[in-house]
Amino acid sequence: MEDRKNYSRKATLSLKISEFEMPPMQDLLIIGRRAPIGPEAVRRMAEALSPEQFSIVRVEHPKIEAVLVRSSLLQMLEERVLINIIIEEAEAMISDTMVLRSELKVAVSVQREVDMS
Amino acid sequence: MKVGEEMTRTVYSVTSDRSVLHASDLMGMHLIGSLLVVDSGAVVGIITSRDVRSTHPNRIVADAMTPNPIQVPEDTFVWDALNVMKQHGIERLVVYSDEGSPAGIVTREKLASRLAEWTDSMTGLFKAPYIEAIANAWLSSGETFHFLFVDLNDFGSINKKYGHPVGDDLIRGFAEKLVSVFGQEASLCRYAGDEFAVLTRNSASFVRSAIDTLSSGLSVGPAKLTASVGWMDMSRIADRDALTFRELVMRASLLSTKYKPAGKS
Repeated sequence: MEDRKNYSRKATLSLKISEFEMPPMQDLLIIGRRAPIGPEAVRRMAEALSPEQFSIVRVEHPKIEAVLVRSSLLQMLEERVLINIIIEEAEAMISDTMVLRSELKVAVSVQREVDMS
Repeated sequence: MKVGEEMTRTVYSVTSDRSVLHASDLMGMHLIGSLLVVDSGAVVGIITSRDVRSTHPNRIVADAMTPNPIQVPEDTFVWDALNVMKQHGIERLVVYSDEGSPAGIVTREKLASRLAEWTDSMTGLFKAPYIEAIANAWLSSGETFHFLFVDLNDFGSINKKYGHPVGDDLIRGFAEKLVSVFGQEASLCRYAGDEFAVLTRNSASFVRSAIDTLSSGLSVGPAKLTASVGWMDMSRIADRDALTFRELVMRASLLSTKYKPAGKS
């Protein structure tokens, strides 16, 4: 009883606030075949958050079901080339239950020579 | 004999944005193995218990369903529906009503077991009600077709002379010959003991050549067998609009008797 008199319960709150990135999925989402979220759900989410900016590309791969790609990237590079590179880099680290997000920037460097005469 | 008579009429549905877990709960609650996926009144897919088992429960139904399920009208014959399932390698068909709305679901297992009841176990051909259903449908729709009644000649004496096992071999052999001559295009049945019936929409010249092949007979060991065929070409029947299946069989069987070898009929 004596101990009970000194009993108290307290809660400590910790609050972290940061800006919500728009869109939260950056440039790419690589979706595993048994991931908790499937390609259609990802497509609908992307469409709701950033209308007409992302495309779903379904792939034939034992672990990867589809890739969500920022549509502007597909305008810069051929889809097959881009997807093959993404799969090559992702397949070593992804499991079929995972969804990976990735940033992908394309920088084009040009050097030209012109005739001075 | 149509899918409308065999389908499960109570159709449960789910929208494509619900979770697979919700679909699983619905199936468990109603003790069913599949749900139609309906968005804005249109059928967009079908999700089965197998889909549910192989998909993460957090996924939405759209990511687990089979999109654009194959649909057939209610008046599709059971064997035609089963062929559609075999062609597409699917286990379920959505059945739609005359109004175009989903009326039910049929499973391959249900149709296959129903069809087994109409299959002759000795030959693998269908039984008489099969031919009757198709003939009635073609007669009522005014289609032009050929009906053949095939009677094996003097089959009773073969049984007596060589024994019933040889007779059974001849029946099976003749059924195989029918299949090889007519292929998958015709509807074939073992009408009764040593009588067969064929419905086909092939050309008259094909039918004539098929009859020649059938009439040439069949041998199993020392036993030899010939057949008489009564042929009804519906394009040549004047009173075809008033013809019933019973009348069709009667005329064709009388024709086959008429052309039996002398002293054998």
